[in-house]
Amino acid sequence: MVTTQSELLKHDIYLIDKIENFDRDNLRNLPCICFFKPSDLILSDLCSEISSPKYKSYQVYFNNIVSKSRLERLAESDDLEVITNVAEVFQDYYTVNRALFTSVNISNPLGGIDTWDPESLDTALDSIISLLLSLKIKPVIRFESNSKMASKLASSVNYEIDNNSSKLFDDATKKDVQPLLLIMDRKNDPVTPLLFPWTYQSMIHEVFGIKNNTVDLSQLPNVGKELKTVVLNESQDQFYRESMYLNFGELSESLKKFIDKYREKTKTNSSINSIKDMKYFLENYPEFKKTSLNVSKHMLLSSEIDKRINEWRMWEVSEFQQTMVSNSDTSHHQSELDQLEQLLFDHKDNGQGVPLAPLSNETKTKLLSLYALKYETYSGKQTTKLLRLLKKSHFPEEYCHFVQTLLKYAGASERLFDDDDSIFERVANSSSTLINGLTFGSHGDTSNVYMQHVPRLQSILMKVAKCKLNLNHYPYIGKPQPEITGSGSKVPPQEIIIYIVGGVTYEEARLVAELNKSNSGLRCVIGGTHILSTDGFVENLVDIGDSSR
Amino acid sequence: MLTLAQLNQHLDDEHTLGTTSGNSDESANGNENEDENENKRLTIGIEKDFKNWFKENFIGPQQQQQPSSPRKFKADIFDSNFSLSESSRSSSPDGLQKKSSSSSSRHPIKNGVVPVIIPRAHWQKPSGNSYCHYEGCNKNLGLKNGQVNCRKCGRLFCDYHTLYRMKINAKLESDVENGVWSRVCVDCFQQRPCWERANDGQFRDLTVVFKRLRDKKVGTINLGRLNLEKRLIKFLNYLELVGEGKKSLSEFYAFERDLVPWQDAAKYRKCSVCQSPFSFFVRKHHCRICGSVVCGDPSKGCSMPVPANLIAGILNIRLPGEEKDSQVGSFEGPTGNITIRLCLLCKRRIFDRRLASEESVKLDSSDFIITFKRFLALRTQVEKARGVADELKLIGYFTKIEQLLKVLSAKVKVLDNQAEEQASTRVNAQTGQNIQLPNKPFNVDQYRLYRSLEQRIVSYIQENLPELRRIQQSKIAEEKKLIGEKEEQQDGAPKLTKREIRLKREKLMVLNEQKFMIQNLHEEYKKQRKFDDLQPLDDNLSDLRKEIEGLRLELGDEAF
Repeated sequence: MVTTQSELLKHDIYLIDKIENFDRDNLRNLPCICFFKPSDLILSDLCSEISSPKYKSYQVYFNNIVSKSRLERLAESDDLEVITNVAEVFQDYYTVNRALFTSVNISNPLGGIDTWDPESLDTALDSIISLLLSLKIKPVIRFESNSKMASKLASSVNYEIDNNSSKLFDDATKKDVQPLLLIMDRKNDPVTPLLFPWTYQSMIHEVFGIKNNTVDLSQLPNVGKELKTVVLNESQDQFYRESMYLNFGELSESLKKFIDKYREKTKTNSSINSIKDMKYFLENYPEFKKTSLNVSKHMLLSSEIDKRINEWRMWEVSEFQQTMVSNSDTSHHQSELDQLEQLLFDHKDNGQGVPLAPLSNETKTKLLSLYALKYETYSGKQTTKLLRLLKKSHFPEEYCHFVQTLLKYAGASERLFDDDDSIFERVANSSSTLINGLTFGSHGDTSNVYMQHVPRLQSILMKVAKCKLNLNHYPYIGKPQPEITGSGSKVPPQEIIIYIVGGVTYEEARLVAELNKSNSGLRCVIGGTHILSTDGFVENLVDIGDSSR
Repeated sequence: MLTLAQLNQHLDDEHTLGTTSGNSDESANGNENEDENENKRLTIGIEKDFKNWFKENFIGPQQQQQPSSPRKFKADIFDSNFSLSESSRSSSPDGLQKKSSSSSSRHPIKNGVVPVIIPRAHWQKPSGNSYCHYEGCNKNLGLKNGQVNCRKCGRLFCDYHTLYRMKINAKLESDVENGVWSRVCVDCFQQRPCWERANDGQFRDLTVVFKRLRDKKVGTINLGRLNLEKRLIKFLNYLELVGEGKKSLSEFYAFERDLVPWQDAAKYRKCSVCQSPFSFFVRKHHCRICGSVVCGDPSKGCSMPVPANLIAGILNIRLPGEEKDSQVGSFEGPTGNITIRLCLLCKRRIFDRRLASEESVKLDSSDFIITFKRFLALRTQVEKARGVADELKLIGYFTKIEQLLKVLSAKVKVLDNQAEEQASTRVNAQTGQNIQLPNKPFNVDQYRLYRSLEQRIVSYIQENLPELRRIQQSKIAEEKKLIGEKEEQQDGAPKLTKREIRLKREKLMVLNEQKFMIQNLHEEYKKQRKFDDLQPLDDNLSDLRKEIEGLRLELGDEAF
């Protein structure tokens, strides 16, 4: 989604600036290419720009539908006829991975519990519409019935398709089965964004935060100038492409291989003694430089992640988290409570009586919320007692409040119950991995304690593949004709777009990516209002908690 | 001895497909070791035989001829080769008739559309040892892997590679509207138009719509502009008369008022451009060509007296009297200093477009554009030379590009200094020191342009460096060989032939160039403080120097 300047240079684009910058110099000899979101603000800037043009000619590209009135406005101000091209390329969203997109610039879509922040709703709508147009898809829309946010978005999308831009959607490719747009709400799976993730891309986001495909490392000590901000792009970085979905153990192995390969390459150049070596080195110099930069980038990232994991004591915390959430059985309540108390009140020592470094407040909050979610309906729950005790030990007020907000937002009574599948249950192992011609990946890796939990999305997708998604919980908008084969069975959709209101996680993106990889008969794209890390999720809810207080 | 493969083959022949007595007779004839293998066969085949029996009894005899595995598919919704529409295969028209009537109960008929029947004539007949046609699969087809015909292309595949469904019609084409859901292979699934074409990404060109809208608007604007221009020309013509002494200046002022109805000054209290109220100091003025009331504040430029000769120059009008002077805008006498007051709006309307296009023409010959164009031209030439593998030319072009780069970097350095100066003066200005700003305004964007062009050229050279080195190397090798041959021919001859001199000179040049490169690298490393890598570089540098010296000595006076 984010391109580098050198990439643009290759296309002979030499100057990049923003339209908001009014100090740009006159360069009447150069043509100009503009790429805009068709918003009122930008349009008025553009109008004043072209009425006293700074450049020779303008090619204007909008990333979404431009209304006729806006086009007229633009035409009116172009009395010098400097605009040579106007076009719509539908790109009003960020393509993060091959199968992951997000809306642009939403930091918190929640205006309150289950209500939209109005601006975010518009942005989300814009991004879905432009995604559908860029894929040339006119989908059937389903949404989670318990969520007002999802239903509002779904009906807005439907309205937009039917009315404002009917002409554009008439061009949509005719499909054998109508593709499915499934709008889900984060509140139905609050567990996934509370767990520490263990795959590479997720971990980078969890630890540093990935923003527009770049990671800011300038806060780290001893970082070279070239690594202050690094770009992580699936299409340009081969190593990243291969290992973004690997878990931490696999990652270190693959990194080791990568470095060995690099060493082998550079071995010859470590001893440049003859002219021949020299020439070899010179020939490959740019390539070497690129690779070495890439190696050090990934080395830096993974070593820093490793450091943080130890600092946060994530090995033990995550193990506890995973075992707690991967069964719905309340019989372990006492032992889990004991363990939780130990962690919350820093009673643990390293076996020799020396207490371990205390956990951060954020980590404790997440642990407590997982407990609160799991045992919400259990009669012997100790949530209030734990909260009281924490308050006494000067635990920040906002985090205590967060746990209550979370229960209001995504408590048991707020969630959808999909045919008795609890979010704490591992996806049933008994069901076949081959459903309707689709292979589903792992059902939680029992051999790896850190990867036991599988997002609820998996079971939803399996139900979609079986055509058994509950009609009351996931109603259609309108009444689509189900596709039925000669023998009377329903045909599942072959193209699915999932949009999660309230944020998508990289773990879910990984799930979808793996699904796509193992199935050539299915195309699935996942997106959300924004991408969550555990901290991001907590912050979002703390925000609305503050406003509702 | 019987190999395992043979046994397998035999088993396939014997037991896979609906076993008939004829079949087993054949295999009995064909296989002499039948008896010895009977036991083995029994144990392996027993399950399969049971299935055959099952099939015979439950599926019905007419399907016996159907070449397919009786295995039940995991995915029950995929019709196997035994779908009930089987009877359509029987070639008699009666069968077909029967089929359509029977199937009408299964396929829901909408609006009386007769259900489509997918022909099966193109189906590949299974031989005993067919394999899956999916590229890279190559599984043997049979009981284990399944054996299914793709309904569209008719080829045989294993179960796994036919777990796809699409709608096809009787002509075996993908048909979204009226097709029938059919089991197809991966390739057919992915090649159907509605799947393949989905990746184009949508793009809507609004240029035509936009231009139509603009033309509507611009038409009226243009009309207005023409009108204004006409008035201006009238002015100029009248001025001409004044210049020739036919009319007096006072007459001209009267004409001014006549040409355009002036707005009533009393009615206006604010300037129609900047909206500032008129007062004793802010005087009212009339624009001479549209008649509106504006202020004459020179700092705002709401209206300005524009010299008549300048206007004539911009409009490129040659007045009849002017031809005498044969110089545009050189009015003499009383008209020389006559000005016409124009308001900002009129000025824009009349002159902006002309000035803009003029400026772009003028700037087209700016340094940047010239450098860029040369770079572009060299690049296309490089591509051409690469196309015909003209290596010498390639090297030549690259040296030209390098020269270009050198000039450019010099320019960038100058600009760098300017930028620094600019920054320091800005800092000084902030700290309150009163330092005169440089007379020439520093053009930031221009500076950025040059820098990025430099970057672009550097990266372009870097990209092509490996190839270039390779070419040079091969050239050197070639030359060395030539020299070697020559030396063999005239052994011991101290005098160098012209050809050798030329070759050596070339070599010397190449070496010099390499030396230059390494020196650059050396500098770079020094800057980056990679002292470990410096040592080998130094060694090489001295190597190169030695070689260059040697060559120089050899060439002697002929070196240059």
